Amino acid sequence: MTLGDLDPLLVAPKRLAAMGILAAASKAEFAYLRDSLDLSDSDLSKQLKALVDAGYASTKRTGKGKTRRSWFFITPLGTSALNRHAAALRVLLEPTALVPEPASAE
Amino acid sequence: VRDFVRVTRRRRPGPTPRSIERGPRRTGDVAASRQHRRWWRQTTGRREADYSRPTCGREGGDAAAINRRGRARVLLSKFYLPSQQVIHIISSMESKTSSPESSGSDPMDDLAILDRARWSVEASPFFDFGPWWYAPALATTLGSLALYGHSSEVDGPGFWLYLFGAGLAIACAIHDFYRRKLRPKVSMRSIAWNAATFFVVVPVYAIWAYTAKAKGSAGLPAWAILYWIATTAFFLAVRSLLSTYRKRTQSVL
Repeated sequence: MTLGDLDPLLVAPKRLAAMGILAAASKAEFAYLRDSLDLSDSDLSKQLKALVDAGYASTKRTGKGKTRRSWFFITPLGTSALNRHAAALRVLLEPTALVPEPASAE
Repeated sequence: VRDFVRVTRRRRPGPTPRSIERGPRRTGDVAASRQHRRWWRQTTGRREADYSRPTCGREGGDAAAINRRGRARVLLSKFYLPSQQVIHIISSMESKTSSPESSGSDPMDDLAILDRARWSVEASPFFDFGPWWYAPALATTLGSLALYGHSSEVDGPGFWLYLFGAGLAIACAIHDFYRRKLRPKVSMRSIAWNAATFFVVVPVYAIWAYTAKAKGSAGLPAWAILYWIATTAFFLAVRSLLSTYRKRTQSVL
């Protein structure tokens, strides 16, 4: 596990938090994500679009008119990316993570 | 009248500081204007704003920090804010970690975000009581089950009240399912939260059942109405507490 395993898309806290919620839930509605992350509609829409475009999340719209809802799911690709990212973060927290190996005397 | 105005018009007491700085009125005399500005610079030691520099040539101080903030500094300085105020605003903007493009500088912060997100999802059903009318509906359900649940009659009013209470509970459950904006996965912690909900409701039902056994439950006894009011008030209080706590701890970021 190296620094290269950190996903550049998940480095942003908003996207990371959205992925964390989607990973713990089977599906979450747009309004729930907006309230939980305390974001504006446009901001959250932009963040989720980035995740959907990357294939980390998928969306499904249900209902019509006032009952229209947008549900978001995490995809298997997103789950593996999030797990890899979280593992890389844990490695970074280890005290020996970034200490260079001593050069071997020849 | 003209003479009167001319006599009574008060002369200005003298040039104001601003007029000194600006120089003579714009008459198109460029040479005079430049001469005045040169005189002003020599007199006061101040330089005019130099917009080609990030600091506009107005302040010294932490040059490295100001250059680092360069472009925003120039933009904000055009609004003529005091320099310390500008630096404070930019510093507060820079200190916000919720920017979408800002990287999480501390891995521990990012892991904490993930933990909070998981906790929020698993505890969300427990802290989201629902609309206020769930409280009287739940009180009605508990009351009808305690009063008429043990009765074997299938024809009297008790039977219909029992059916009404059970139907109300089912209707609330269906409404709650479609109302919720989250479908959490089943996990050990979510099971624990549901068990906690169960243990909040069971003592209330036990009080109802004990009183019904002691005082009798024929028809609709007067004590049942008082109990129904007390139970509704209890659930409304619980709802209020949960709502307050949820609002305080809602934000994952």
